[in-house]
Amino acid sequence: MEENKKYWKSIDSFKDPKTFNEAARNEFPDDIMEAPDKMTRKKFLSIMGASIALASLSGCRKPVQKVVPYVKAPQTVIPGISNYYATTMPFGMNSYGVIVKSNEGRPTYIEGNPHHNSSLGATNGFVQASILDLYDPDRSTYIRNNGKKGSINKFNEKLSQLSKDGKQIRVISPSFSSPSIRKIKDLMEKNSNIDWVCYDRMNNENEYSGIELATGKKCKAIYHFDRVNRVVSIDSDFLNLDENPVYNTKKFSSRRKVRGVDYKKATMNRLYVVESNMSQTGAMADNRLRLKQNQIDSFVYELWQRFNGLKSGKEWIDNLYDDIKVGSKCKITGDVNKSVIKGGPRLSKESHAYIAQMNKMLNAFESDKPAVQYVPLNKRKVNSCPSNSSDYANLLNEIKNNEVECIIFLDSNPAYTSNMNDFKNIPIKVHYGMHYDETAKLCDWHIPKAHYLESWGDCESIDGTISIIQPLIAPLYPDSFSDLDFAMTILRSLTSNKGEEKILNDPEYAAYNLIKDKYSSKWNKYLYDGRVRSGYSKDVYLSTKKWKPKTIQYKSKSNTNLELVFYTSGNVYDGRFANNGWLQENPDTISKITWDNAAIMSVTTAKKLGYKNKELISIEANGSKVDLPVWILPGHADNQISVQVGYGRNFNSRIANGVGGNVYPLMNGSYATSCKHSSKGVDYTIACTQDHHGMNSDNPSQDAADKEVQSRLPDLFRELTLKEYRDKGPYKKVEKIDKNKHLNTYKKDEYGNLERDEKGNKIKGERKTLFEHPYQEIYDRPYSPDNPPQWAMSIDLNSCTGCNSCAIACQSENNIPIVGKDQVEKGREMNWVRLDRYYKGTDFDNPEVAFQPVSCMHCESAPCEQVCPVAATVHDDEGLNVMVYNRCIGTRYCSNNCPYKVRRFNFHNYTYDTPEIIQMANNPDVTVRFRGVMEKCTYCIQRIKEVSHKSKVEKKPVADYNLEAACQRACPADCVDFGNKNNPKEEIYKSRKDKRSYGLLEELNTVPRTTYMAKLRNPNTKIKETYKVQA
Amino acid sequence: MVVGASTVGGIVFFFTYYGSPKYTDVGYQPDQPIDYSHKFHVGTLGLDCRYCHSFVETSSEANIPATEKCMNCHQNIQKQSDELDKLKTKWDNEETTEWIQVHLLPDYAYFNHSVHLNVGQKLVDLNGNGEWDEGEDFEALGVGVGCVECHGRIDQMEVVYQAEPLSMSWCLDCHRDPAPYLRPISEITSMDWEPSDSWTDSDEFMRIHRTVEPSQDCSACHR
Repeated sequence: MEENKKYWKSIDSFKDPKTFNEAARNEFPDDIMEAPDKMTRKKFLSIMGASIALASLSGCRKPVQKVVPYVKAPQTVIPGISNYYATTMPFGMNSYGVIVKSNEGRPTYIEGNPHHNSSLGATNGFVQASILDLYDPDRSTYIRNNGKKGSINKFNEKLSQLSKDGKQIRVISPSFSSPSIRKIKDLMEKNSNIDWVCYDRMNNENEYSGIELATGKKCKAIYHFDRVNRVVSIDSDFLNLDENPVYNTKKFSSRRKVRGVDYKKATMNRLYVVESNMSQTGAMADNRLRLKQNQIDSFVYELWQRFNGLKSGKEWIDNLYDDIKVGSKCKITGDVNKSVIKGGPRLSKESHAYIAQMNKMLNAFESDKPAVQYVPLNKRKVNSCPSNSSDYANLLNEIKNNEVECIIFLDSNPAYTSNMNDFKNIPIKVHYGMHYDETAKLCDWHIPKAHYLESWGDCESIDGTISIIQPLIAPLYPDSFSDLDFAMTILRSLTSNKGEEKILNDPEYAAYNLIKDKYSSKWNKYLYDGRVRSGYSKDVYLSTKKWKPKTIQYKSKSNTNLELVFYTSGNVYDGRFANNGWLQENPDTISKITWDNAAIMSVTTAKKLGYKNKELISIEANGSKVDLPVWILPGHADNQISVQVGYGRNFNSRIANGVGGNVYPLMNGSYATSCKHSSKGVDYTIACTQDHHGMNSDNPSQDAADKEVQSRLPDLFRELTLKEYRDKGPYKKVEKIDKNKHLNTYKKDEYGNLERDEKGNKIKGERKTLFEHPYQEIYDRPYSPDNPPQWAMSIDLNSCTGCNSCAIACQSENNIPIVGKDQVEKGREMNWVRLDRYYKGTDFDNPEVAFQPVSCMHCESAPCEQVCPVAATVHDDEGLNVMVYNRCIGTRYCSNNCPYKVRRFNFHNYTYDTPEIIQMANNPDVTVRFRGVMEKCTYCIQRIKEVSHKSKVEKKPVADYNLEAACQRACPADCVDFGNKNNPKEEIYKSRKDKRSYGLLEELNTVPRTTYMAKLRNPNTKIKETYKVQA
Repeated sequence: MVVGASTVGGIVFFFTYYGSPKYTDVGYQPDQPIDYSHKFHVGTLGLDCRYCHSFVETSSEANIPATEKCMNCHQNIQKQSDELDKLKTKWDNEETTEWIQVHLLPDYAYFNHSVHLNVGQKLVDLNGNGEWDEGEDFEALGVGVGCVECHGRIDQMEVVYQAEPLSMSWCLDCHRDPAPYLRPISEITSMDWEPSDSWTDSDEFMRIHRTVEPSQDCSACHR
């Protein structure tokens, strides 16, 4: 096979496939019985023996269970039927409109609100996992005054006293976007002694001020990627860690759908990415240029010069410009190109100014369908309060001069993200947050914050959509305050001049009253829709005619010194999700690391510095030191170490404490800094899932095994370029597969002798499965609402961005436990959806990346079923491969025999010591599995059953109901189709008939019900990586 | 040899009989916090099951009524009795009543009341070609499983007990041959309905025999 088409999952598997295969073949490695808490097998048996004896004494009856009815039943609750409510999840400058499922008053599942612009019906992992934060057992439960229990009245008295005395009081909060909190902020700042500062350590301020340079106004930018077919992302991970990722992914992937179109007319967009660290967006790129962080700014400058007519003579710049400039035409499809450039948070503000100018030259601001819109942040109609570093610097100055008497940390955590020494001179410090965290410990007062699912409030998302935060449940801890309630409380205590407004003079006036009064005009409609208005009014957007550019001075910072660059984490963001087990155990999109952050560097850099993978090193910068393991990442820029913030939390918590290292102290103002480093001489254990559950070969000869795997991989992940697809049609390789290879089904006569043709060759018989399935006839019946629906799933690899949203949604929907770092390291992670990430090519520095979500294929002829000794996994008449937990005796034969490696075994009783409060997050319609039981994707059978029961009660065909699997609903790229494969009216029917559609390992004759659609790439073939930087 | 075989046989019998729900669960009759009499309310007064278990036709659960439902009547009739005072105290204090569940399925078995009360729907093959065409629709057969089939003669129970084993094989008996356990929907809550000859001879009954095919797959109840 061609070397440059080689696929590999990790550098180990590339360099030394033999040893790697040996290790990877062992699906269940040794020390299998070692319990997480070092409980030995012997001890385990002795304890179990005792408990069995006790159990048998207590009789055979099931334990007594109580049924507890309501005293007064609420009208809307029917036990056994879940309710859905629209609300909003605030997230910095953005907010996500969500619909939350409630089971008898207990929120259990979050999905996107289709009518809300920032989610459009989908979610990302953060939104999905935020439900677990509600039931976090480590949440702070009571008000504390110097560590002892305090009361809110005393706190209010204290504040009023300070205010009466005319002391200077400051409030710090992260950036937010809410009309009501904005109003309170404004009211508060009317008092001369109070100031409210918004500050995020990981902020997007360079973009705002860059736009200010270009236009004269500080603006936020809203991008619409569905309106262009050329996207240039410069250091921007807009599909994952941007201000508006779900909307971006939705719109971007809408231009990657070639389904239902004649392949000769297929069109799709092209994505250029220039970046230093391999990001999720970079993995999607058709052309990717890796540049060291501080060289990216000079790339922008050179591109800008090219826009202004100066030919650079560099291939990347010139070819990129030729492809995106106004009036250029796509060489493949002949379409006129429309392009937009997006910059990321780490670029300098000058670069952002150039990008604004280039976008203007690309007509991206065109009035009828703009690809990018600027919204001035100081407009009265704009309610977002962005982070402002200069305000923060002023505040620190004031503190230095001892001018500040009291500071209130509203949901911010400076002891973790910066340095608490900055604030130690302030006599009175107040903390408000979900946890009694690093900052809270050092403050005089701590007030617990309520989760957004317990709060009333309102939000303005980044595109201007206003929606109401509606509580799903009363606060679990009565002492906790919602954001709005707490802001109103301190406002009332601090303001001496009460005036007319109810907010100021009525102590009973709560967040609910404020919101209700504000949106009373169409209260029920607003709550039902989960939206008050969509987008801003037209006059808010900045017109290009009103631009008043300032002079932009290009400053070259480019150098080749080793640099440390900081990123937000795709799992814990800036640290706010650090105590969320689902997110901590979620493998990182690219590196597939769980439960850790690492010092990420390229192969060349690691070699140059003399570090090997997983070696623990000490990094020193900005006067602080942190120990992190090295992680060598293909596609990473040279001479750069990338680190993720958000780890290394240090407060009393079950999950967050001690996971990874805190790199915030190394940060000094900007996103990049020089650093010193040295080896600690020890290796560190990283739980990385990239080589787990591989579809490996069981061939005893290692050479043969490697060959088999390598020859199979291009069939597992099928891809071709847009040009090939248009010219030659779909991927043809599948036809070469000998479907009879694994089954000697040659034609035999009635006596069992082989039949032969004239030439004496054996005649191939009909395709047969290993055993005749009793339901086989039902599966292929033509559609009728009377026949059992035949469930199937199709995944469009062309738009999958590998974002993990499906995996977290599955975890939430199906009560999947987390297992902890040492269990993940042994390959025991329980996620039913595994996102395989392949690198492609032979160049470690510039690999192509491919994502493939793999879960149970629901094979019609399932290998797992044929080996189960107790028939615990069998088929039903709807084509589901059913896992019967109560029958399973845990032989693990099924998993051994599964060619896709999608079965997960409960090695221990992972849910045994789950605190009661976390159990409230469980889906009541899904069994919680016990030790020794195999489990796997069920196609969300509980949702299928809900619909089929409804159809029986309401006497309508199943096809009339909107049935979506959890992963399908969560996917922001609309990759997943799910439905009845035999119904010609459903999307799944069309998807399975698509030319790109194929099944994994079809040659084994497993007849998988989950199929994939091959990926298309659309590279600009003129560009090779030849960009050289002026030092 | 013989002794050994009979010992093994005895042990097997011991567990298959004494360990089965037929032995352990049938007749389970826990003391409830309030001596509410189904015999009086259903048997003597003739209250319909659905007056209290109001969502049984729409939801998977046959809900236990809220205290408010009891008080709807008892604020006006039979205002005073020892047992009712217990309830009234709870009502005044807004306290709930912790009933002990009698019919308790294991957590891995999911039973849905509503589908058992709406059994049987059949596609109407208007043109008789044996296939489904546009415009052909569903028709209900109008039968269901009576409450009494699983819960026994509630109208004769002073204190509710478990009348049937509720074991998997007991469920499957009906799922394999449902017709004898089905009755017209109008008779669902009737406690003493017996199939008449005219019912068992009717075309309707024969049609049910042919068309009602409850799932015998594991996924019907286990997920």
